[in-house]
Amino acid sequence: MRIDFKLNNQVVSIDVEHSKRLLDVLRDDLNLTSVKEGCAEGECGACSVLFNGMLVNSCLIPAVNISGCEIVTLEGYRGTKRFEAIKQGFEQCGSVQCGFCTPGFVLAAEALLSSNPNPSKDEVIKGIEGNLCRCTGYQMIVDGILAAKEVGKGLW
Amino acid sequence: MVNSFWPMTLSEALDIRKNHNVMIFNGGSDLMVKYRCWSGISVDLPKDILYIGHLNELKSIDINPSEIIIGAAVSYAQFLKDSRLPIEFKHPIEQIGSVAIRNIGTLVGNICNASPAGDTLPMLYALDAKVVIMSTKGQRIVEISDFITGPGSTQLNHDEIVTRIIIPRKTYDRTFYRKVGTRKANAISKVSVFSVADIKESRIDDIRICIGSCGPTVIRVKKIESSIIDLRLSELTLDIDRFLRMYDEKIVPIDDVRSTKIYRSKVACNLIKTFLTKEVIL
Repeated sequence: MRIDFKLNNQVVSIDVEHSKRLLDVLRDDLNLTSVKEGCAEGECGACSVLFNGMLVNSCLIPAVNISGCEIVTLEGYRGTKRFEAIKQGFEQCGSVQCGFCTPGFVLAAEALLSSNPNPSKDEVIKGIEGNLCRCTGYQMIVDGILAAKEVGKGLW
Repeated sequence: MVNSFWPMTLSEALDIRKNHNVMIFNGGSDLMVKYRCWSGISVDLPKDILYIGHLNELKSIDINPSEIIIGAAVSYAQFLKDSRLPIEFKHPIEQIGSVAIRNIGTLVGNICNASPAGDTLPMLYALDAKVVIMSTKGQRIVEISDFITGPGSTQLNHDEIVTRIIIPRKTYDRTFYRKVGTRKANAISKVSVFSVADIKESRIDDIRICIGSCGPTVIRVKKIESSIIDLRLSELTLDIDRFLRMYDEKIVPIDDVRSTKIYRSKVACNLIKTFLTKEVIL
């Protein structure tokens, strides 16, 4: 079926099966490989994207559900000032090691900061509860987001 | 390949439900996992699909003096954000899944999935929630405890759609919720307990204790509840062990990948004891 939606600020029209996962649409049909497949069951957050501004796991969204909606992946988000703030925070704190989970964590951080620009440490931990990282032990990512909120003060 | 239906209105959805053999797809957080295939291959849904999660008619939370009415497509996140709803009812919901799951998962989906481990269910049983079921013929309203008939099974007919849940609007002197899972986020419950009580002049005026993941459906034993109601707190204190033994007999968990029978029984009884001693008696 034909599906029209807005992807990273551009109107996109694709012809896909209704139950194809948004994850596969983004990676295979549209070559957006920042969206990673980790667990494929909504537990790891590596495939996180923003869906009308909300954080979702793209492995759980059928293509038909994105019709008329707005999707943002890291490829689109990286052009923003907010991304620069998160990038700096992550660099300062060593929040990235292998990097596989990082696109998901960056978008989880954006979803958190856009609803709560000044989160406490506990709120940051709650905000990234759906994202798994096997390298850092999480502390550096929590620190990175806390640093990003200072770097990007006023942006959210 | 299966066909899909993407109705524009609820009445169109009910017509489709009547005229076709379809599976209802709401938020998708269960179905997309249950029927997933390999990377790059569409989800292998077993029959034609009726999508309803986008219907605006099902997306509202309405509150009147006696009821809270939750539409079928209301997500956990929408429920949590609604400042009109009591915080006590939000405790079970905020522990479900993760941020991203709560953005798509729905309370009605949790009911229709009818998992013994469904995390909204102990609360909905305790609050005497009702399920509104519609078809082209009209609507019927059933108690949630009658609606769910076993693990994964409900009394929903092939031409019907659950459109709303009704929670009687009432405040309780005590509410209690504990979920035991392997980790804090994205954990399916091993055991959960949601309880409420009202106390008037040191006497139990009302008590409801609901246990999740410890039987084919949520366990709520009205017989034990009515033998606790009207007791003085001092009498309850003396009789706690007897009531716990009564609950222990009714708790019938199984061994599975997440936990064992013996652990679940023990923890469920401990949680009921905690509720009675720390919340009710004080």
